[in-house]
Amino acid sequence: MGEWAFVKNPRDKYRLVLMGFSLAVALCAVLGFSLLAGDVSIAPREVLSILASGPREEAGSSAGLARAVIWQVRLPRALTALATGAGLAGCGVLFQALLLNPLAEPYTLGVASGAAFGAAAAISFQLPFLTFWAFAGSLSALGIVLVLGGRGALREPTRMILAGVVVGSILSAAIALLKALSGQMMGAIVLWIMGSFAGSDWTSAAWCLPAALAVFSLGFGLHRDLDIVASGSPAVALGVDEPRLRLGLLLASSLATAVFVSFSGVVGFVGLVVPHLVRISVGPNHLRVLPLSFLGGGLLMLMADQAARGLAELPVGVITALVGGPVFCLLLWRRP
Amino acid sequence: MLAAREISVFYGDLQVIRRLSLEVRPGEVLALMGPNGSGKSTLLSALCGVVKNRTGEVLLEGRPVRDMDRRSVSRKIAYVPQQSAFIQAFRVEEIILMGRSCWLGAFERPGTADRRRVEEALAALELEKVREKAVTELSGGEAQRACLARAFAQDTPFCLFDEPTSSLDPRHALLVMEKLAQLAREGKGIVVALHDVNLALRYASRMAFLREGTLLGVLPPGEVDGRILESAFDVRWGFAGEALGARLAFPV
Repeated sequence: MGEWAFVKNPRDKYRLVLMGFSLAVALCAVLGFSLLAGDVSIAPREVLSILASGPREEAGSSAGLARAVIWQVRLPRALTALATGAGLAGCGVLFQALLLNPLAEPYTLGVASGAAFGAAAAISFQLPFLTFWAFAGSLSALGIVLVLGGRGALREPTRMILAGVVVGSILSAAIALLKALSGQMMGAIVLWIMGSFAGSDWTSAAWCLPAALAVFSLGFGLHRDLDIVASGSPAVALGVDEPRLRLGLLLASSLATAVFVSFSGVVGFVGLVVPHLVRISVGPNHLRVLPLSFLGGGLLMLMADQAARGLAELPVGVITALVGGPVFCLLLWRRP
Repeated sequence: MLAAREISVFYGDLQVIRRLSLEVRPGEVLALMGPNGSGKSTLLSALCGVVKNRTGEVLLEGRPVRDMDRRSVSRKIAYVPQQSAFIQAFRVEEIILMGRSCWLGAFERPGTADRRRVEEALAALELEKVREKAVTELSGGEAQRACLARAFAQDTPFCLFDEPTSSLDPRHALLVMEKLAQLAREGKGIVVALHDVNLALRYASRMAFLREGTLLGVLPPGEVDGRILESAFDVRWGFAGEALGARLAFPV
């Protein structure tokens, strides 16, 4: 039970602890496996000693190769995937609470379409700094949605969702046009949009980890206000400055989402499905939902990336959609 | 004292409240009466700052409400709107405890006093049996009582209720009105928008009549006559005897 409810139901408490513990253990296990698995075989003991001794270069030797693989490839990739999954799931929690809509997700305000358009344009016109163009595209789309929604959108979330849908549709059409005109580059555009962590490095990890942590800290610090808004209670009358909360958190989580999609493409379903799965298990209280969604999102994305690595770098968005889609269907079907 | 001083409220270009002045005193139940669209709900929203008045001032203990932050206002004024649409499946006791949130810090856990308020609110509105039920699974009347209980737990000097008995059966409607009267006896200022003239005649200290955003008059129930009722509701009224110390009014 969360802090709201004070009649402690032991069954709920154990379920919460068990779920958090299981997710944390599974996350550590998959993170460890992602450092071990790959074309270059490295023994578990060697991985631990490489991690313990830091990223010092030992060029030329086989130990140097293993160190480079761990520190330059596998670890930054795993951390980027972990941060992206955790961050997207956390953003999904915030979007669903603030937009009062169970179908809201981090991409609802056009951030993903904007990033995809920026990246597609950069690929089509062979511009350097792909990530920069994706980030610029996502911020531009977000800006247009906020302007379209107007001040009233902060009191009326439906208006903001509609603005996001419209901007997303226009950008999707523009992306389709770019694809049609880009000839040989079409494959590259499609692959980028479907998402991948293959190109992850310490730069991506250094952006994605703080972005995810910032979303978590903000959401966790304002968990009580989120509960009030998400419940459908008259938040303003209960002391919550609802428009300011909505603007601040949606802006922060959209910026974080822009960081995630700019580095890794549009990986779908994690931000939509994970919060629902967690809420079904432990109820809607954000003091519980946020941490568990972070763990669950990170775990799911790490597993999907592992699968992508094992399947000849299949786009990770394909895997999350293929797994997330049926899970979501199951949820809808089981819902009373 | 909670007071509106010549306030005007607009929705876009539509003026809903017209230079209206009204005072709510501690220890009274002030009933807002008027037909649909007369501005009762807007007036309640304006009194607690949920809707901004374009002109005039709402004063809470002498301070303009518009200059106060939301948390400070919610420690003084509880407000229950007409519609309750619960979205996520919080439990009834969780919803009621949300009434205490304005008294708590970000990571402060509810203390003994908070829990006692919630228990009292649950008991006052007969919600103990559904306390662990998801609010999304409640009947309309139970949901309305959960909203009222949340306001009771908020424990503020002023409470504004918009048609608090609209979804309730007669027994629970009386239970709620008795509770409001009790809160007034404890010194709180209660404002309640009502359609049921007889409930107002029985429980209100004063009745304020609105029509098209204008205040027609404020009278104690004993002085309410057919003329002001007809002016407000556009229908003739008759009175028949007394029940439990209050006259019974009926539209003719």
